[in-house]
Amino acid sequence: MDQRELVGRAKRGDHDAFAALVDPALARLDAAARLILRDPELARDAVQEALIRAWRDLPGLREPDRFEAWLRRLTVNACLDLARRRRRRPIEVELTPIDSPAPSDLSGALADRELVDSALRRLDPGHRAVVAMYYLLGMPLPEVASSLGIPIGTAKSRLHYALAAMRLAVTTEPDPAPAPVPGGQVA
Amino acid sequence: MTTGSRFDRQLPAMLEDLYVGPSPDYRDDVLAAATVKRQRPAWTFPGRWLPMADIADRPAFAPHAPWRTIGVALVLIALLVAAAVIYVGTRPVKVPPPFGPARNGGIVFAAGGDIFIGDPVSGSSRPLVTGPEMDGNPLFSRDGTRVAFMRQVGAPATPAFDLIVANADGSGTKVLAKKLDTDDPYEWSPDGSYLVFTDTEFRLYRIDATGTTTPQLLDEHAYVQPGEFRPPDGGQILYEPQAVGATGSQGGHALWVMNSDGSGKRPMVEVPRERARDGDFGSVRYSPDGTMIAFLQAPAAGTDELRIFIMNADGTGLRPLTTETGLWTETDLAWSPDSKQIAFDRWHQNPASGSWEIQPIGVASIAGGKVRSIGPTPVSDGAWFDFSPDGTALVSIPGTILSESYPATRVQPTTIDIATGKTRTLDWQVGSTLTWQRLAL
Repeated sequence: MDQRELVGRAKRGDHDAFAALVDPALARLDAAARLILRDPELARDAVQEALIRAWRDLPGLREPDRFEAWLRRLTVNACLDLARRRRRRPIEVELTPIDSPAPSDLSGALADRELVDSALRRLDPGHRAVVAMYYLLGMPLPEVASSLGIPIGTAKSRLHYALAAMRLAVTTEPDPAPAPVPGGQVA
Repeated sequence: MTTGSRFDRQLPAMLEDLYVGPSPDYRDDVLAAATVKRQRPAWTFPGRWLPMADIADRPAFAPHAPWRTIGVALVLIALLVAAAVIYVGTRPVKVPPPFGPARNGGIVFAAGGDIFIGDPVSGSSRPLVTGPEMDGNPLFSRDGTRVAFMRQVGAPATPAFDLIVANADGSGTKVLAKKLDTDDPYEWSPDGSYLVFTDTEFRLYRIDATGTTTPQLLDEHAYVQPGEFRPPDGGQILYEPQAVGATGSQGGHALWVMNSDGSGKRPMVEVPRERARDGDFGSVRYSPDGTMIAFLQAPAAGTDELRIFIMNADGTGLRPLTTETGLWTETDLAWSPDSKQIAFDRWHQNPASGSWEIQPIGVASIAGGKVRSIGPTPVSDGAWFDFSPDGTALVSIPGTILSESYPATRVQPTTIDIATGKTRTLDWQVGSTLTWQRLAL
């Protein structure tokens, strides 16, 4: 059964069709939500809110082929809504355990992951949303911009800023405790 | 290759490792939580415009006859009946016109599957239609003499709805249509002789208000919202065609008009596919004087904006209602009864964070588009509201409860004075939109 047919059935209230539409995307939506919110419980709340909205508003979806893009957008917006509401609450991310074999340079890869994660933690949710949408959800920048309601130039600059922060975290040597040098530079 | 470019190449895999796992273990729970909700028809937008109306009624609160003694009562009854027959036979019942300012009557709402009517002046309320059935979504006829509502029938997992009409005092219930597949949207014709209803497949029906004839299919691919009958007689109905190929809107969004018998279908506004955005025509309403149309549309040059546009009823003179700078999303429009103002929900995009921030309800003057805020800031999903028949106040509830037909959560409505912004909370527990009865001036 193709996506258009599934969307058509789900629009008519078919729960199984809706589940079939959502299942392929769920892990990645959860990942994006955890990246943006850095809290697994909040991420779950955001995904649930997005699914409720998707189910409720599905009859209004006029382009069945856009279901996945629509669901991604709902999820990210749910994340940002939650982030705004919980702005003052400190939150932390729970990393997903890795089941797959580790790369040969295990210590280096793990260290880089931790540095990237640490860099992401320091970004605000709006920047993390751009990273999640672009890298985890595979959305092109114009769609990222449109989904967030920001000009494409802003989306580009947020991505650039986020990338620079992560790149700096990983490429700066030595680690983890760089010695400050005169002028505020890091050696 | 530089360290930086190598990092850029590795980043997607790194993020995958960091965040992407198997399907989350809450999968079944969130799907169940989502699909237990009722679905809404199309043309809705983040949350909220609903079947509702600026309609009103006011039950008569007729006193019972004072039976004191059988003998005296018989004589009095005979006299009263004779007088009533003479009165009714010689004088028409005074009802308000279907559009324009009217006197405020009672406010009808649903809660817990029953229909209630409240007096916004005294603050009291009483049941109107009660029983084991799940009744909701009430709507007054525009002359305030009858209330239509939807009764859920069938299993909760596969709900169907009967459309029922009752007199304004709750008596004389009659089923007009059975086993409809959704409970909204529907709307009374201005003269109260019929209602229009759109099912989830976007089939548009005309349903006779006497319940004596079979519903007539007006269009197989149309959607009619409250406010789309052209005042004063409803001779024309605005609608949003859904089958794009068949109607000629070619994949975009469109606003068409038809005669009330389904003939004479023609386009009013068409938005090509490349400019079409969610929310276009999400709310469309004729002004009560029938001279203008207000509707929602994404501006051509906007990002995620949604603005209210107004035009003359013949489609000329299209222009945005408001002239505020910055990025705005405006929704849920309601005309004042005198056609001089429009109230609406609005969100402003914070230029620093990019987030949309809810603002108090805006009221814009048609002449000039100047906006002023009234009342408190609603919840993030906005508010549902409507003008009182006399145009002096809004009655409002949080928009969040309106995603379900029979919400477990109930809210207290507030009235907001249009002139002063002063609010008053009514001591009613409401689980639906409200419909305000219109009375003759």
